[in-house]
Amino acid sequence: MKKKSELTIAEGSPWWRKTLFYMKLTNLFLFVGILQTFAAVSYSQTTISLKIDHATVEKVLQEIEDRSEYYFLYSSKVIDVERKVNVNMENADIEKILSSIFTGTTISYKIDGRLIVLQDLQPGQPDLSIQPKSGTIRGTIESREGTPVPGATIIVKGTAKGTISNSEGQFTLENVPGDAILVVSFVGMKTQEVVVAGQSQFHVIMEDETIGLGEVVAIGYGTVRRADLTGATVKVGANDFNKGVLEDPIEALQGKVAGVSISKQGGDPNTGFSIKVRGSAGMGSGTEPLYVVDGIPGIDPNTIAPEDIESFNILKDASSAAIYGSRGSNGVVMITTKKGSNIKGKAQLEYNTYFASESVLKRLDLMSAGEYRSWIQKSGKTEYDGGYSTDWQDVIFRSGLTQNHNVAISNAWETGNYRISLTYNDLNGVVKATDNRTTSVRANLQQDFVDGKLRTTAIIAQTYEKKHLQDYSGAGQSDVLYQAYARNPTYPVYNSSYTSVTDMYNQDAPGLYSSNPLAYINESQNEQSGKASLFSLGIEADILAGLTANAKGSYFRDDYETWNYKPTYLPGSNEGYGKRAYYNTSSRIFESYFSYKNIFAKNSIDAVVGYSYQEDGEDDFSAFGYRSSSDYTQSDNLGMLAISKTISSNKESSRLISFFGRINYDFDKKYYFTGTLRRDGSSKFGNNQEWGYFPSFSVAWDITKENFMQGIDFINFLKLRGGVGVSGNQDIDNYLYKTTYVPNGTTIDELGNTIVSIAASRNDNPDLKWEQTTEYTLGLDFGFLKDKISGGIDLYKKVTSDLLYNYAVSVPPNLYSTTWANAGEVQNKGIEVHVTAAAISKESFTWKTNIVFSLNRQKFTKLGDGDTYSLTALYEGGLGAVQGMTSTKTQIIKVGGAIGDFYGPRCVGIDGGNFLYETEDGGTTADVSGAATEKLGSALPKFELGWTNTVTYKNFDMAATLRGEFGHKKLNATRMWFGNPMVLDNGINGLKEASKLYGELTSSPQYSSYYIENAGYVRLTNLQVGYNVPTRTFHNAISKFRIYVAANNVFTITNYNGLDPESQVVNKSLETGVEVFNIYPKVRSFSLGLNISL
Amino acid sequence: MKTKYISLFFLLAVLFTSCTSLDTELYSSIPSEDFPENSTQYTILTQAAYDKVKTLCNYGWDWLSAQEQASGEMVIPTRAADWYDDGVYIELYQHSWTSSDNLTSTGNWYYANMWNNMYSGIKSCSRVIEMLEDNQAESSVASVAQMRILRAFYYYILLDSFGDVPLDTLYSNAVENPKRATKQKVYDFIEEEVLNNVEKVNSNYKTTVSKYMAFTLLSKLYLNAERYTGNEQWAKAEQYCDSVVESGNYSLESNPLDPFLTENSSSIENIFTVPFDESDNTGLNLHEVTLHYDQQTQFGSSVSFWNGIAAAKEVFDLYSVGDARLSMFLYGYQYNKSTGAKVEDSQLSSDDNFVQLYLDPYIPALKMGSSNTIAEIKNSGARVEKYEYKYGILYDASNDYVIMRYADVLLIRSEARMMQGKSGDDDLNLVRNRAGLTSLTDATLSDLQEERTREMYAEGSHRQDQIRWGTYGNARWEKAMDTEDKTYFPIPRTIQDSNPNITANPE
Repeated sequence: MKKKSELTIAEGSPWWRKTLFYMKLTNLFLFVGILQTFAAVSYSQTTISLKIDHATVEKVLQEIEDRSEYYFLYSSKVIDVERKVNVNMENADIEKILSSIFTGTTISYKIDGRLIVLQDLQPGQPDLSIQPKSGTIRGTIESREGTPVPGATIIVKGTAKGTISNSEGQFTLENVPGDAILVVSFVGMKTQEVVVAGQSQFHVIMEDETIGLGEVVAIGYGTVRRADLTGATVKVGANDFNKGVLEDPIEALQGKVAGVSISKQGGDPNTGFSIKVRGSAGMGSGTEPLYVVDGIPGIDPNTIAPEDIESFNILKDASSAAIYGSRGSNGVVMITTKKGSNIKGKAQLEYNTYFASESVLKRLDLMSAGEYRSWIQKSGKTEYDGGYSTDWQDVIFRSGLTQNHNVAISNAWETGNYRISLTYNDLNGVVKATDNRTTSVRANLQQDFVDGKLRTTAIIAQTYEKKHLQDYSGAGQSDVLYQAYARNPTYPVYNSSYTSVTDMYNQDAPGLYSSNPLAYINESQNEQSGKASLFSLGIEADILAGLTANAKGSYFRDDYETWNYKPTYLPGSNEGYGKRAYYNTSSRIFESYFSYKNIFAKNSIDAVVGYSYQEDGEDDFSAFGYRSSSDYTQSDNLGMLAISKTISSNKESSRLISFFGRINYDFDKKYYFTGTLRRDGSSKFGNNQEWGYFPSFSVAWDITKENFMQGIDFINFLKLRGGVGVSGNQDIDNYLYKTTYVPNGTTIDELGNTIVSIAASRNDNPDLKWEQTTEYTLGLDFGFLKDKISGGIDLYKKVTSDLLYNYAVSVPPNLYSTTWANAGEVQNKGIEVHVTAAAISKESFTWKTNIVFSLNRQKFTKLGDGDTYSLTALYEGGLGAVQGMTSTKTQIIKVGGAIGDFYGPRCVGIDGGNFLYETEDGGTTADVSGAATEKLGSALPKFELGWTNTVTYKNFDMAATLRGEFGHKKLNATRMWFGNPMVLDNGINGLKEASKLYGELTSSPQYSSYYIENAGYVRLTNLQVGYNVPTRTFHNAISKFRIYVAANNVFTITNYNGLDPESQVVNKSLETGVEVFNIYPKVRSFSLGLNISL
Repeated sequence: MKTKYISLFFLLAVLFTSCTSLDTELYSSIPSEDFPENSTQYTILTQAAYDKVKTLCNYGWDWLSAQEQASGEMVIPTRAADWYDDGVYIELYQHSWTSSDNLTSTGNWYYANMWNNMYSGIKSCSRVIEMLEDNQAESSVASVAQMRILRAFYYYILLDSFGDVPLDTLYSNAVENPKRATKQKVYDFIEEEVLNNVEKVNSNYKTTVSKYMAFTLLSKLYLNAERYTGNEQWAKAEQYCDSVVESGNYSLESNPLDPFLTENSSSIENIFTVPFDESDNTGLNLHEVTLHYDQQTQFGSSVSFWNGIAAAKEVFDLYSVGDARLSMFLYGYQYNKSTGAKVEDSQLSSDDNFVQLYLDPYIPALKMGSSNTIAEIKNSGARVEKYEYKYGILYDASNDYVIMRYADVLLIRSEARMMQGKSGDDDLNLVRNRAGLTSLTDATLSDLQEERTREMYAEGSHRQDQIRWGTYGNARWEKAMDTEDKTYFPIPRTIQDSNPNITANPE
């Protein structure tokens, strides 16, 4: 037990005593705030077994840190740690080991709790008080985020003189020679040397240690040190996030993590990114990872402001994710939000803001009015000249202005802390009247009781958002992108004379279902407003030494409403169309678990057993109608609608119950084993198939700990990992296993009365069960040259079987032609490599480079079960948005193939007005029905690269992230339609290509290899340059003032002709890689931002 | 001590909350074990069994549209970049499908729609039959009889479209992956079911199975019996027409298009109809598919039309001036239905040059493209208004869709009599005179065929008639002579894929 009295500093205490004090504070917060599961263990009773021959003192100390809870504080400049020693101790206590190392030297050690401070008591150190021409220097020490670093050691190089920074990160050293060098060090951060050079004020920014094997990684219901991991888990902290405009918090990770593909086609401010961990594995079930926010599973990450996120931990393989067994099939993304200040009694205020200008990265290369007239001349279709000149892309696009403000206050006291933040984000898209305004509040509170043995945490978070949207998914009259592209450029936007808004917009232009997109943008109502709330209360208690109990209850609720109205005078509005809808989803989650942690001689054990209960609900209501008597009231008064009988509502619930256990064991910090077992029950499955078992185990071997590695100094870390595990997927709709009866529209009975028909919802399948992923992983983690170069390589194979899908079944005997069932199987195999190199680490100049490489190969090994759910192929990549191609499918998923495999006729050229296609027998034909169906490429990238460079120079910092996907194809169906001269004959605008081909090509738009393009690309996705204004500028009133500029999507190098070469596999969809005038333009943004901390 | 309390608290918390029940409630749908809950729902189930009759005319992509195109009565020409749709329409028009239905990657959706909808209707009937079979109450017996005849009707459509089809008559415990039954077996089943149940039917409503609906069904089955079984049944066809005629319940309307008016639910001519309504029972959208974009103003509609299907010129030419039925075609200059004002051709007009919409019955080619003028691409083909399109028509029309009517019965009787060597003049002339044509004496089969073609135009009858008359495979505009038997549609690919016992068509 720590005594209270130790928490005060006596006047004249030795410097290490102060260190102790501040370190203890750090301890307190480190271990209470982060390592909540660590129980209070009596350290002095810990014994260590250590047998090392001819190792450096540094190595031995490192070894002790690894094998125990102790850690050391010393300066390698003062203590000779390169000295070689032999240690051979069996179950010895720490005092004994230390004395064996340091007996006979001038080094003394002081043990306090877990901290061991080493000091050189060598006599003959110069008497500092008489050193000439010395001055007093002052300074502050901060982390890169601007938080003060208390307890950092500042030593005058080559002397024993030093001090510790105080709670505000400030320090004072007297009588420092003008030519001295200061060595600043702190646990987990890189040691820095600062030249005094006669200055008296210093502002030192500490960088996190690149690798930080001691860094704590969240693994679900607990944490481990990074060095002790057995599975494929990656942590990315706030420092490494992409900055600037983020359309989704997960965008902060884009290009940063191997095996985690984060992508989005286009730049709609109202759609999120798609994230796939180690390939997409599913047919009809969800393929997005499970999000766990502050330990609460299933929270929408879009409800969190990126500024509030401290770190992401991604559990990539099944052996890691198995602890979330039921939903771990597609990986787990754990998000930890920022907690209260880690300085006791020091209230902090942070303000982060940016303003950004956004513009369209790429437009379609459509004909201008002049070029269109040239075509009219050529074709003689003079009826199509409307006499004006309009650039319809100019009409609907704009420069969006985005602003973001985040204010956070936090404080801490002896037994608790809080952090409350308020964020306002106003994201304006580049298509007019598309925007997203979000206001969110998050409060994280922690309070300890019973001498810190009972700890409580509370989270209250609220997000409000208001969005304006536009339709653009197809070619309908309200689809503004298609209408702008298609609209004849010789027609005006407005009528030259008009009396009211009803005849203000020119609607005349020719074309199929033509309408004026600006009229839709300006006059239709398309709004959405949402609010999400999270309430969570957690209690944690130390019961016995090493045994902790934990319980947490959470409630999450997401409500949103929509308003739609199309005024009477817009084409396709049914004389005024109005709709209101309300949706809500809610989750009630209760989880409790016990964790036990102890060390017996060379054995460390960390075990968890627990229970989890989650009940999800869904509720919605909508009403719409048409033929409105007033445009004024829009959808705010549906009573204006003459035909308004369409009312519907829906309510559902599902339940997920789990029991889980995990044991982490290591022998001698050399051999590691983790075993996990989870039993999950889901109400979504048939009555006898609700429960599933999800086991996993993994092992690791720290090779560097072996004696044969001792002489090899350039390798400081080498660990081999391997694991196998099973995880499940239940991400399908509710009740799919049983037939229920639902309303099926109105009908008229024989007497002429209107009645509501009731019909069976679906075919029964009481055998509907868990989809399972079995994953094998082999990994190697390494650190070379004192972690100057570090990284890892992972090989994996994921087999997802019993794929959930709505399989085609025979009619008869079935009522419907599809049934939800388990049959198919898909494999994902891949390689992930990540390497980080601290290329330059000078005091004023650092350069860190990080490369991630991911390769994934997908292969369907079974589509059906060959019996009831026999399936020979899946037809995807539909072109339903293209007129005349309602049923065309461009991709076929076959056994041996993957999502996104294009099949179709191979076009060899254009001749005599027609496309020529290859035939089966090697000839050519102009008749597409006689063409051979060939494989034309895959829409899945062969590999993906991310490359991030971070450079700091004095107070400047710069980070750039390049991301590229390679080897994939996309079908540019936008070009297939607008590039075909025949669309011009329908009176709509086309690409310049269409005009060039006019007369040469007379075939109607036809899908073929002609429009399948290589979509490999490299894009500078994020670039930021920041400057930390020295705090002395503000007389230290402000502890941090950072100003930065950032740019997103700066440039793209690609041969792809469409709007966006980025690949994206949308959740619960097997379609990918088809661009069909449904891509919201990709956005380039430039932002100017400020981070201020008081 | 404190720690003990804390641990106790946790143990209790875990114990009390460790719920392991996965039972979740159904809120917005009815569990199958609770349905039907009451007698109203039995009635609803009976009503719902009729639901798939609606799909026959489902805006063009189902049975009716397939019949019209395969028979060449109507055509959906490719209008530049519009209406190609992987060639599904061309395939139907030219009979160019193959047994494996391999035209597009997913197959021609027409076949799957026809197949799935009919079997879905059959299942619904079987469900009610299974529920009420053992109930001897009069109303239940009548309901079961109705459902059996309705199911026979669905099988009649399947037999006519696909030939050998699986005979599945159970709702629960149905055989997995059933095999195709021979046409004879299906024919026998239909005949038997109708004959056994017709006298138990007590409904006289046009929108449900009535005795006369059953008789008409029998006469149609017998009319085409040779095709299904190899044996002619002309006498029986005539006999059941007699039953309908002699009931005195039906007679011809004075105008041949009156059975198709918006308000046609009480038409004396109609025997079996679907009661469509623009808001309460939607699904009749023939106008959407045929009308020109600019006819939106002509019909005062707030919805846009698709400018697709049109009359084939060969059939259009069968009507002479003075034939009252000629008014079902919209061709030539178009005038506003309400005001009589000229309808503007928005493509060809400009600010200072008004061009009136002119619909030309002549279609230059099945596939029109850059070599055609704008007017050809957009305006060619007479449009069909067999069902009246009321001014202010919405996306869905309110006319009742006519499946069986008296004029058809008369023409069947006329044909059946002729085939037995008797005179068909009386019935034929009733229909001719009503259309404004003169009476014929000693009318030939070819007179009958021409008249039946004109009278039954756009009612989905022509394909069946042509097959019976042996003219179905003939060459016509933009179609070559069939080189193999195309009298049955191919089995949908999805069905072939999902049931290993289903063979291709032709086998």
